[in-house]
Amino acid sequence: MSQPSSDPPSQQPAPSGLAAESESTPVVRASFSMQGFMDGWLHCQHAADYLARFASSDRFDPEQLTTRLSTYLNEALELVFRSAPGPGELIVTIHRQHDRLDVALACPIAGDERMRRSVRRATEADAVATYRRGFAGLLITPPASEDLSEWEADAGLLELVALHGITLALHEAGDALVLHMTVPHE
Amino acid sequence: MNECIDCIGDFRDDWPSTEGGVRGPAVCVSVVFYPADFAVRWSQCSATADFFAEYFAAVEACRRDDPAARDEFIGTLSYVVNELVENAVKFSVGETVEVTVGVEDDELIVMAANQILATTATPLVEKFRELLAGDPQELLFARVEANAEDPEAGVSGLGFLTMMSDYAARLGWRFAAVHDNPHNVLLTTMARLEVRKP
Amino acid sequence: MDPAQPYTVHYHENNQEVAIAGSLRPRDADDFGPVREVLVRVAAAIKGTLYLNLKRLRYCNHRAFVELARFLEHCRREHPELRLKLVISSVIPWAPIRFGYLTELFPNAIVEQYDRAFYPGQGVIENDQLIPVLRTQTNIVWDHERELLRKHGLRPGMRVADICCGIGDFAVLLHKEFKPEVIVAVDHSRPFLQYAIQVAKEFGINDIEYQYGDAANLLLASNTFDFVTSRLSLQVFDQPELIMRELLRICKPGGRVYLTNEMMSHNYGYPRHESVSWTYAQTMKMFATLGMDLSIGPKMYSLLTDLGFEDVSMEQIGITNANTVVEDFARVIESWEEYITGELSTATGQPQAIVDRLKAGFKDHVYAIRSRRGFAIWPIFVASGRKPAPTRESPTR
Repeated sequence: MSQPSSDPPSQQPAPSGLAAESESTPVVRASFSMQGFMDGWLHCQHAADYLARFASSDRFDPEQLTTRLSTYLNEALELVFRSAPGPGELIVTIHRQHDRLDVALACPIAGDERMRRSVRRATEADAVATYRRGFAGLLITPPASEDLSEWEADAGLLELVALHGITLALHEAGDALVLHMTVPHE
Repeated sequence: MNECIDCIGDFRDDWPSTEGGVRGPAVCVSVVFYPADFAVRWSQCSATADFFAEYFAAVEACRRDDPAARDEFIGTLSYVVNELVENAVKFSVGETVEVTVGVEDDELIVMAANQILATTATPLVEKFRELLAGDPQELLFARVEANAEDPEAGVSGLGFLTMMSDYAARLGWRFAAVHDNPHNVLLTTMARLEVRKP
Repeated sequence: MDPAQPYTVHYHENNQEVAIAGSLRPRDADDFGPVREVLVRVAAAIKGTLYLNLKRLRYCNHRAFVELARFLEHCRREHPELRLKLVISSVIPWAPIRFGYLTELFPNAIVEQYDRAFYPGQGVIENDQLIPVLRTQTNIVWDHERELLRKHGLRPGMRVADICCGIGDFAVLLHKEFKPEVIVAVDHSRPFLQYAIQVAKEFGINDIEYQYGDAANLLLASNTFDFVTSRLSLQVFDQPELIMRELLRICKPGGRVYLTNEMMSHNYGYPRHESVSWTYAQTMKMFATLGMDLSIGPKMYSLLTDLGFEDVSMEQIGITNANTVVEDFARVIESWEEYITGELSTATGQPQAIVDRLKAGFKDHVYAIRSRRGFAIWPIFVASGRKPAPTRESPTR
């Protein structure tokens, strides 16, 4: 955790590089030590609800955006939680660009492959068909097979892309994995 | 780190601690606002306070099984965070306000950092020294009375005195130079609370 | 709400509805267990339609969504005759997307979208303003009333008449709980009766006889029924004694007439009790201009004894925020607010300042209900009496 600095974090090299875009304005940045974050499952929703409410506070209908953003952010945070990354920090930054919010989640790379696998599945071609196939499989065959168990564990992000029209991307920055989510205001 | 001009009260200059590149303390959460770009209203201050309180109530080191003890913990942390955040946002002249809460060695620390005009630093130093000089309960009582007699007088420091008197918080402040802006000073306010054993 | 469990799940037998509210974000299938247990139990116990009230389910993670889908699959396999209606609100933006997707997969489930208070079987309703009020009231009163009915003499296998049955929800509950030989339910509102008939049909109940009728001139034979009920109704008639005479007439000698009515002057909420008391005093005045006595509750004793009923028994149900699900109680008051500051205020020509003050007063009552330090009560009086056996001097009327 950094000491308070005279340099605003938005002007420091941000892992996502989003701050470099001149039309993007910073909304909020939150960092969580992984150890405390992993203390409780409810931390995922505490963080999602708070950050969503904060980032929606200037909208004409803040409740609508709060509900959507918290829903999407929570799935991403739950994935981080399930990935059980090692010690380090989880950093969530939210920027605004015109009619959308850019959300970046950076977490330590250590841990299992869930994050990479989940985003890869969610960003493959025809996410809708992939989701529907996997979902139907879940209902007919409760996941006895490893494939289905894995699919079920990863389906949170896939659903966001397939049903809710969210855009996702993943990149690595040093010792951090960074998940990007684009959330339209409406 | 910014060059320290002055440290007053129970400010821990070594917190959050780092040792050989490994960051500590074990549990820490920090939120940065950008009030020049995204306005921070009073409702967001209280939402921030509630968030920190609920979050840390679920952290292992602070967890309480007894609902009354849990409520007390939440009430205390929420009050302290709210006071520090509101002050920091109200008096901020820089681009960011940063709030940090962490728990380490049975101590819960709340910290808020914001830039202020350098010209206001000296009078503030005096005010803070005054707050720390006497018995917080007596000072609080005197200021509440003064406020009642003349509500227009704008008595300050009630929030800090309440923290010290009612919540047993130890307060400290750090004034530091801002590298690229000699007109501003970085003020960091710290409140230290004991995490009571169940 | 319990911080460790930020959601609630309730079964409302009256509506055959499982309501899930709050934030349902389980970690795994086990975490979903408490919800699954309620859903599976209810699905096994009912016929007709099961309503899933999801209007107040603000957050649902993907795990919960999959588990809900698994429940629909379970119903398809184990209860193929059961229909499922998922009631959602457009206020929750993800809900139409997710649940719309589910209804593509499950032909036994449909989605209905509501923005106001829930009620099943909407259909063609002419005056729907009161229906949400009546439904939510029955929801919270039934738990208290079912035992009192027993205490006041209702038994299985009886012939029962429910006069001024309104939307028929009480008749359905009574039918399920007490299995009477016959229930005849009478009301003077065609929209209410249409609604009641539709509800009974959706719940697979065929043997409640609904009649359009005038409670002061019932088209029912004398001395027919073992148990005659009239609930929260005398208070709306300007000549309640005319209704009472009819209730007495259709009751068998030795049978009982059972009544409930309010004492609105004693609706109370603390803190802000002055505002709350003013609100109900003003509401009573408004009802009084239409000939209604909303504090007739305690007067039932003399109404019954004056007409010659024997073995008259009276008591009070106190609906409070301590003995009732808080959110249900709050919803009742909110539905009163909507009706009283809307239709009733318009009907009685209230100026805007009064309407505003009434709104504030109802909100103060809701505040008292929800506040940890608050106390709120809605008293309902319950009374019954036995129709005497005929004598040579006074043959059966």
